[in-house]
Amino acid sequence: MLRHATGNSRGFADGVIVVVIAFALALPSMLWLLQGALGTAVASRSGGVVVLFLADDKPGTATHLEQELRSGGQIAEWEYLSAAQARSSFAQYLGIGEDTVAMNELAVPPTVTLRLQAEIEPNVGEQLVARWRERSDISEAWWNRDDLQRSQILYRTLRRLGYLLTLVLLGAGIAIIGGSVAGRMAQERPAITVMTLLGASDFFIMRPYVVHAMLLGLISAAIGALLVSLGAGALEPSLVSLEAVLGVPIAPPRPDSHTLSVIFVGAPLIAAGTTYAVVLRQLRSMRSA
Amino acid sequence: MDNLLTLTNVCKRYPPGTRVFKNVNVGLGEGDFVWLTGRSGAGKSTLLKLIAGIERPSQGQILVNGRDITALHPSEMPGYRQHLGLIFQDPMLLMDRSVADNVMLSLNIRGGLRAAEKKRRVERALSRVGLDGRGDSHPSHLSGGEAARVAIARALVAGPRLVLADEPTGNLDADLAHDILGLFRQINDFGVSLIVASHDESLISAYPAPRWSLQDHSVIVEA
Repeated sequence: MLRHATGNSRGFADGVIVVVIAFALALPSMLWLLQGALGTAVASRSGGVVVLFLADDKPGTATHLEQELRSGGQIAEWEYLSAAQARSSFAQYLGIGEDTVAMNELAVPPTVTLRLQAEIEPNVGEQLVARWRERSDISEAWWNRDDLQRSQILYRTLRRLGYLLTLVLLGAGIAIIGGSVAGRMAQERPAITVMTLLGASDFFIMRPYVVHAMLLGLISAAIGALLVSLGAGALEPSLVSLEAVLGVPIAPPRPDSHTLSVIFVGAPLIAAGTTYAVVLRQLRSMRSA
Repeated sequence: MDNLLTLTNVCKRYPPGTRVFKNVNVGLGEGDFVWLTGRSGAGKSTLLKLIAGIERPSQGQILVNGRDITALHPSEMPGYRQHLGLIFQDPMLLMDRSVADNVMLSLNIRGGLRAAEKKRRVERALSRVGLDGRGDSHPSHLSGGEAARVAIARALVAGPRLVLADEPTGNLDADLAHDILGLFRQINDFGVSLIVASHDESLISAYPAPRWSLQDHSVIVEA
């Protein structure tokens, strides 16, 4: 069996490959996890928030309205504020909470803030809000989708970035592995020539290269998984800030079994596949030379 | 009796139109020993490469043990080559392993043997070439003659019926060359067929045997 030299330069080259592949696995994985977490958050808010101004301030009106609207099954959350509560809340929002005179001048109707169910399609939501707007017990209705749109833009951006980063790092990883294998084969060409003359099959010659690549892939996967876990922990404070900005609860991106399977199966397979292709190509070119 | 090796109308040309030889018709029986002679560049190595399946003839048929090797698929070539013994002027030993591991390479490539059996065969092969107890040595610690013997042991360890040797004594002094030739004769006595390429007339005359002489793009067979 072909033996690989075990000198310092070889060890260093293998170390560089392991680190590069580990980062090539960890960075896109982090991005995909983050994007997944944000996607879940966006999905939970995809129904959007509807603000209703009620026509009168009688508690019975709100109760009746809640019963009627909730019976349709499209409402996930419901929060009623009487005129006084709504005025106080609005005054705090405007920063005039201490100024009772100014606050009393605010004409704020009783308000219902409700969240539609996540699975409601945007056009269905729009029709629903338009219908409510025509009701006599509702003076105005808005569908507030600003936070949703912001979240979706970020979600889509992260997804595109994830694709791009995955492609770039996959390409870089394949190029580095391929270059390393080609270099190693050039170095071991005399040994390969002897083996070919002695009747070694392609499989016999490429086996040690492929096994070596698979091992490097596995080590890279282990380091990559560790990096993902560490990265997820490091991202948590940033996500708390992002939650505040977007108004969307974002679950911390923990490496799940799916991500770990992709890393632990994908890395050795890609490393071995690239090595197989490069070795086969080099062998063919050696034979035709 | 059928020949072990038969070349029929074998021609070899290289792309710009350079003809190495044409219409080579020779045969080698089981247990035969022949010298392949000719001046440098006459095509001795090319003829051996054709027989070893390293190169393909431009025309003609090469039958080895009744099988046309020119018709072999590239994937079948390793299997064919495992049954040949190839020896070159340069012993081509691998410097990342011991003498014994160099010899064992042939058996590893062929596969199918237990470690103990492989070890036994390697020891026997080294013993046959006069290198008892040198299995653990590193190739860099061998003399030129010893390295040539290791290459011979590597070619013989898998028990080939046909051995092709291309200028095996080219790098050795006269005494060592005669040692190696003596070894080839011993191998031949065991029934192994040999084609030994050489341009060393003193050596050839010291070991009389039929000769395939490459002259003017043809092979002349001399008994």
